[in-house]
Amino acid sequence: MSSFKLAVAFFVLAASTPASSQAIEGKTPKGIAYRYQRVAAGENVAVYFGWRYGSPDEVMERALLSYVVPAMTFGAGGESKDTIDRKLRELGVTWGTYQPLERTVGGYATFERPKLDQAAPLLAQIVQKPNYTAKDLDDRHKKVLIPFREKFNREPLNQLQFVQFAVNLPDFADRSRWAPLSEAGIKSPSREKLVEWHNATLGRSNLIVSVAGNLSEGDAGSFVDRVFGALPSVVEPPPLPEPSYKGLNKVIKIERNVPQVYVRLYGVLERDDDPIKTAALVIALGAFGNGNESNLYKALREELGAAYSTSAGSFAISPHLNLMVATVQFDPEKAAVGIERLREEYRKLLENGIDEAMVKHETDRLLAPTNPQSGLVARIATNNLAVALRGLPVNTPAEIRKAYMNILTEQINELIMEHMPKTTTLVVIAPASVMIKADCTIKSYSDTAKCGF
Amino acid sequence: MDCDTAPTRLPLLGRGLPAVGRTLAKINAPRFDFCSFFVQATLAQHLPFQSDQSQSCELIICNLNKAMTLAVGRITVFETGPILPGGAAAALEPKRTRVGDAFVGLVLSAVLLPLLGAVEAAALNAKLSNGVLLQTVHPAPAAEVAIRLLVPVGGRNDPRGREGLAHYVEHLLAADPGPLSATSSDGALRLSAHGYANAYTWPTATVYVMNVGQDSLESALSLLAERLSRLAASDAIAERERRIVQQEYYLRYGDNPGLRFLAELRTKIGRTDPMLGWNIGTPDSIRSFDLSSAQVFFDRWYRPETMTLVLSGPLDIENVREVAERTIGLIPQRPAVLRDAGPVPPVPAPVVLERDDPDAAVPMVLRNLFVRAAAGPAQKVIAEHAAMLALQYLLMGLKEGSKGLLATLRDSRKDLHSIDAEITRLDRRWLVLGMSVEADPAASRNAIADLVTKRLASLTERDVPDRLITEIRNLADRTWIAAEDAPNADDVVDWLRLGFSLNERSQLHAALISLKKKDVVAFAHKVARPDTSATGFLRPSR
Repeated sequence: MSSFKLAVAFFVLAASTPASSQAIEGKTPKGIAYRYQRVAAGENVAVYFGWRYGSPDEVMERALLSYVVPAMTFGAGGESKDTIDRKLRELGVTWGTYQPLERTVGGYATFERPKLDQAAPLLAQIVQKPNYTAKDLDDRHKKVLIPFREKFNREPLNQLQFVQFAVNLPDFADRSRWAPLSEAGIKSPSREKLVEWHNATLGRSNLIVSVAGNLSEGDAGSFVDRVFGALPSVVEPPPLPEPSYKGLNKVIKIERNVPQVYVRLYGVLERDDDPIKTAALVIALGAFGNGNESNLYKALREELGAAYSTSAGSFAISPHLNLMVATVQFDPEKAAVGIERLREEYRKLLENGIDEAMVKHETDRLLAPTNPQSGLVARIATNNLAVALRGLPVNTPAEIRKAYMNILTEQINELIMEHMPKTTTLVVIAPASVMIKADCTIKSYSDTAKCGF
Repeated sequence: MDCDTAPTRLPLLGRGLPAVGRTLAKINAPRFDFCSFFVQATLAQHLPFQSDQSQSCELIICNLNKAMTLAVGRITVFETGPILPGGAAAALEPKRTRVGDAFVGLVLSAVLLPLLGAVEAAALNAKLSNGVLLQTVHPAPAAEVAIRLLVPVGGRNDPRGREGLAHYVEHLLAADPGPLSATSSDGALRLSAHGYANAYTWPTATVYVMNVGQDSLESALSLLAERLSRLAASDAIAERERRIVQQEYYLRYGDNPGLRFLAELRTKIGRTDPMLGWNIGTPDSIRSFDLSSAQVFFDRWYRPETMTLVLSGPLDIENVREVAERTIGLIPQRPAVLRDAGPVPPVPAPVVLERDDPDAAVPMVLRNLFVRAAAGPAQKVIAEHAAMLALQYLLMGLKEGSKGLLATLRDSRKDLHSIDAEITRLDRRWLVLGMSVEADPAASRNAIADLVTKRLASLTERDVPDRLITEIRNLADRTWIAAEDAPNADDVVDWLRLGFSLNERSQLHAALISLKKKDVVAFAHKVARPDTSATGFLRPSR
């Protein structure tokens, strides 16, 4: 029996021991900044990349951004979209684009390691020689962006965000990727303009590439140079000016005939390079409102029966600012009392902190092993890229993980009381019939200026 | 290679080699010296194997018995003995249930069974005294025990007008009492007291889910047994959960005009055959729920003799049956009632609805095409299931091959913004092709509604790439055959909830391996002529 237990313990150890090494930062021979992390298990490789850019014309820039990276796969190097698509499929390359942080544009490619050498020239072709044909740009405008804009701007949770940015981040609202999409913002630019912007913006000197997988650092660096090395050296843009957060203790109601009441509680968290503080605030937010064991869930679902679920977390809006958000969708009949309870639970968090059991639950969750391996490499690569773009030390994720293991409840509670936002803005979408004590009531997010805060 | 005893050498032959090799590579992880434990694979050629290289691959096992034990997490699997390549052991008969994980299953099926006889195996598939079927699963290393209790009752059993009742009962049983509980929150344990807990309702089954540490298995099963022994919710809890189910509906579907409309369509067609209905109900049906209707439903359908308990992870295989008997085995049996759902419902007439919705951003065509599944011998049923899996690949496109049919359709028309379609099995009787298309306002809606069926009707073998058949063969290599070989408990539950038995799973590998292009084409033609359908035309209104 003991040998069986030993075997089980062995396997448990094997399952829970991270199969990855530490992240490393460096520059390739062609001068491209990279983050590399070896993941010893499996064959998957994830490559995430982001360019930093700067521009005085936000609307024009948004329009360009809606096309520049996605349109790379509309054909490249004289080959058609179908040909490029087929080549990507044949190599099993998953390709996509996203904006890792404000004033950045980037994408990702994932594939299996044996395809590394074949993927490199194809991705180089896509990145360096996009066709940007007028027909493809027009198709993207009509088939993708027009319907997307319609959906994006109607989404209730997005509307809460539009209002919140207008109220709390007034100098950032119109140029945020969380602002409503305008017609001008999705208009197809001319091919010439796009190519010009591409050549002026997507260089190798303002690029960071993050690679994770079961490959050597040398192979990763060589791959990065083969894909991106021929890009021009461009002038590094100045750092993004940090937005100033206007802390307001207000409730804003958007009146709309919706079947549920949508509520978001917002606050701002200054970025800190101290991993203990970062870990403490992540744990605190999770314990406050994220998932079935959180205080909000117990209060709003189990006690009041007012909501199906709750969520809470934070996300980066600039290199130095994180936005804290707690989201709940309420039963209209219980919305008023639910909102009061939400605010009360937040006050309790600030006053009392969290208990030992909550800390254990959250740290167990945060430290749980990740499966499967394909998800693991993507998560590592994207985290390392985000850390790099925010200018944080390369070992930040490892240090935060260490902090999760060692942090004490008292430390967390001290940091909650010191650093969690004291002022919060609550934005609500509810029918007129739902009585909510609001500081300002508007009919649409586009009326936010009427609140006059 | 250092072995305490003389090593066993096995030549690895046949098509199953890539999967065997992959799994060997997996367990022979570079950070661990498995040979110093029990096993080492010597692979003369690295993966993937070619069939003509098969002779160069040799598996060397220091102690077969312990190796198997390690791999599957159990004590006694096989008596080891001299192994004579070439099948001398074919004369040995298995004495008890074959056991193994994905790795062992592949090894057994491809290599060992012809060479070995299974002598002693732990009882892993057993009926508890109250009739609950216990099935253990032995995946690759897992830190926690996964508990899945499947009750074969779901949306198809909802009474007419009370669609969503099965889901409501699941809420009443799994919900944590909270401060509303008559016994107060400190007296009543949360279902998650020992780890993660959740529950799901499908049209055919309700599954109660827990993930717990090995030491908490018995207390977790006790708690689950207590919850499933009686419906103990108070009126206050019943009302709270009714509201929460309503909120869940809005959270999952109510925000999305397309899904909202689809719920309406499916509820309408489900009035004739509940299997085709909408699982969670609608705001109207949810409003009708109360404790007494839930009690009647619970008493009728929650019967231990129909339940399956699936456990996976680090299990103490010698004691797990006793532990299950002491806990889940105590769920009381109930006096026999007529459980028969009555005669098979007639095939519903097609439903077509139009809707103007201010929340819709673009015109949409939503279609659910219902196709009666093949009946008869398991071989035929599973062969069709394999063809269905292949058709789904064809629709979506192959990862390393040709573009999918859907992408081709989208790219061939200027008036299509997007098209999604997926074919799945609802149960033994029904398959469904769900389709959603966004189009220009000027597009012909009828032409768009028929887009996929027309394409499927015209499909020929030339449209089925060789690569698809290769992908299906690869899928066969990866698929589990016996429940204990499944990668996790959820895979077993997913199979059972389709209405298949565990025995029928053994047919799937052969069905996938023997699938031909003509089978895929024949199946596509069948789907192109659905037995009934629900179609909705959604238009944005301002």
